[in-house]
Amino acid sequence: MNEASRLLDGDLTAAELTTLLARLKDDAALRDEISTHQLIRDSLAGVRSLDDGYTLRILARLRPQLDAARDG
Amino acid sequence: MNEAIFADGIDAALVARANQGEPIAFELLVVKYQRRVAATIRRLVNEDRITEELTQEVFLSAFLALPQFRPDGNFAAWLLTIARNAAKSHLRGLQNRLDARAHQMLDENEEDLRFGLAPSPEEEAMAQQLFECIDAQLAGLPEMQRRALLMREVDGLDYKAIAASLGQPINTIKSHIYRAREAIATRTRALLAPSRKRRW
Repeated sequence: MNEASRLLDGDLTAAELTTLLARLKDDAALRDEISTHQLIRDSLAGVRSLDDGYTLRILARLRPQLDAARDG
Repeated sequence: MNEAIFADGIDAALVARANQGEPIAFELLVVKYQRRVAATIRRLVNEDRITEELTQEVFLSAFLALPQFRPDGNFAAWLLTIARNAAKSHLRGLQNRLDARAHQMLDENEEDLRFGLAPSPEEEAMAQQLFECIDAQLAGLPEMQRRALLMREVDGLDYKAIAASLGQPINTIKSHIYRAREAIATRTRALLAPSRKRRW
């Protein structure tokens, strides 16, 4: 099974989660895979909307706090 | 520890990682829940621009409050409670302030015209095509794959409960769900490709 599918189902060990989080920082294809799978999940659950920048605008709003958390 | 975190536990694990200084873990929670948060708010405020503003505020509030989240708590329920409270606060008195801010942003920068406005006809057509594609792919799946996927995504059952319901081994259920998702995703990726740079 691919990692996006397993991640969204929580079917990962703690060690696998650590590895995946490290990869996500630089792996645009993996991020795309996860966001595509999440769009499909939401669609099947009846929550239907495109992303079209929505997530990036949320993260842009959060960026100062996220960077501060990363820098300790 | 070699056991899978599984189901609700993954959210608590991501919260813990975010609290330990891994913000990418919170980004995952944003990707996972942004549509549900926005849908919860939109049902109450019924305005796209304010929905997006409040959705951003909800995730900011949640991030700042993460240290208070109980590890044994339900993250989705916690987050959606923040969303409902934000929408109710807005309805109680923030309407004028948010309207003023939104209008100011529209005046300040052409780029802000993208902020929470209704989708263009092209975007609406793309969305319709995408969701029709997902429906068609779902309808075309082998029956056991389709049933397993719907039990997971619509009913929210875990692998064990689905396996018991369908009388199949857990690994077979995992395989059905994975194959079903891949079948749908394969067609969906092509439709999403033009908007790649606007997504996470």
